[in-house]
Amino acid sequence: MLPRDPARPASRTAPLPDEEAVIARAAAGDRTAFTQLIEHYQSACYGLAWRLLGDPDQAADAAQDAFVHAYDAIAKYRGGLFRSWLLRITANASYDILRRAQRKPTTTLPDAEEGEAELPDRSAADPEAEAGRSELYRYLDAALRLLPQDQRTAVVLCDVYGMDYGEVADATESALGTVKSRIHRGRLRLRELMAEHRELFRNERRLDR
Amino acid sequence: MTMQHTPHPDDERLAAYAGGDSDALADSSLASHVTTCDRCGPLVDELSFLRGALADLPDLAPSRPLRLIPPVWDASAPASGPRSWLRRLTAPAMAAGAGLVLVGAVGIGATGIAGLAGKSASFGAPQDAAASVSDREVGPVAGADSPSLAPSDMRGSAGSPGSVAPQAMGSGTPATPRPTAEDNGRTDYETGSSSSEQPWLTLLIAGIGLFGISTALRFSLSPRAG
Repeated sequence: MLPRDPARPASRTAPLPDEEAVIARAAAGDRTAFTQLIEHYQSACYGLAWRLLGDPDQAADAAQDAFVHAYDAIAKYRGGLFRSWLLRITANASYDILRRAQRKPTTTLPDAEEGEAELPDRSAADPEAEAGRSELYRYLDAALRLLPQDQRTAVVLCDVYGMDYGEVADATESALGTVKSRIHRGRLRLRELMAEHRELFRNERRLDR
Repeated sequence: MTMQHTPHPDDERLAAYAGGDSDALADSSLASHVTTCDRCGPLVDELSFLRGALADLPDLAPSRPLRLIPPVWDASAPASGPRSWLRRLTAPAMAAGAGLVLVGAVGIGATGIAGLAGKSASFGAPQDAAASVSDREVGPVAGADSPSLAPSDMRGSAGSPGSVAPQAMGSGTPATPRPTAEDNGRTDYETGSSSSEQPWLTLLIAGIGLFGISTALRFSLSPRAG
């Protein structure tokens, strides 16, 4: 059975048409402009937090923490992709929650290794609702949840959200070599987890060509 | 199966290659192996596709409305209008109330100290007068051992020093005048203090009132987050 999964917008949030101007106003203290940015990117932040934490409530908390940090820091924003900047803040906020949860065993996050039985059962899936790429995405998200936490964090930050190794190392407070190894092992493990759905890959590749 | 002269590279190395790591891509022997190996070629192919799919994973809508604090509820509140306008006035009103309380308290304190100082200053005068009038015992004894003289001194400082000594001294024994002086003194002291501290007390009460009202107003007008 597929694990509970948040609603999926059609794609990733594109930048606002007048984003630079809105950022400039927000940096100058215009709260309405800041709210406009946050409302626009909240799905991106929530998606990252959910993929890192695997829990809707904790993901919402992490996203909200990130908004507060972003509000405090926006005056110091120095260009670049705003989405990436906000996602880095969200990654740090999520990782803070992760660390707190790991220090308190009573509030453990879903155990990736134990969740193996939750790999999607294709026979249970609605072929119409989960057709095409959206079906692949759902399986991928399910497989990501089954990765060991350190590999999941590294793969999500690097492969899903495009951070480089250095950024992942900063966010996770880990050595560069450790991060690389986690990402590589995570990719291999993900491939194993997706092995029984390999035909999705083939379908997708046919569609791509 | 294609025969390989070199052993398969480590899978992590292949994952690095599939992920486009510059050092792995720069390894020509790795690249040539991947292009010729029936095992490693498809593996890299799959990993590359997987990575592409991961990079395309869409954003996810929050499961519940997110509280975009701290700015949102301020920003979403009407920028103008009687409520927000009134709410903006509560902070200075609270500050003014607190200031009045402080001034009132300091004023009352200062008045009290001034009163005590005045009492101390007038303490010697009746004593000398008493000594010069008649009974040498009464003045020193009463002045030395009786706190009840303090109120009588207060009365003296309040404006009738001339009447203190005769009244206290003329009663004969030290024991007799004490109740009289005490009673008179208390009455005079209270009367004198209320006239000098009253403005400060009014300020204090006004300050407390202003602070309380503006605080209540501020909370009642606060928008609720979430």
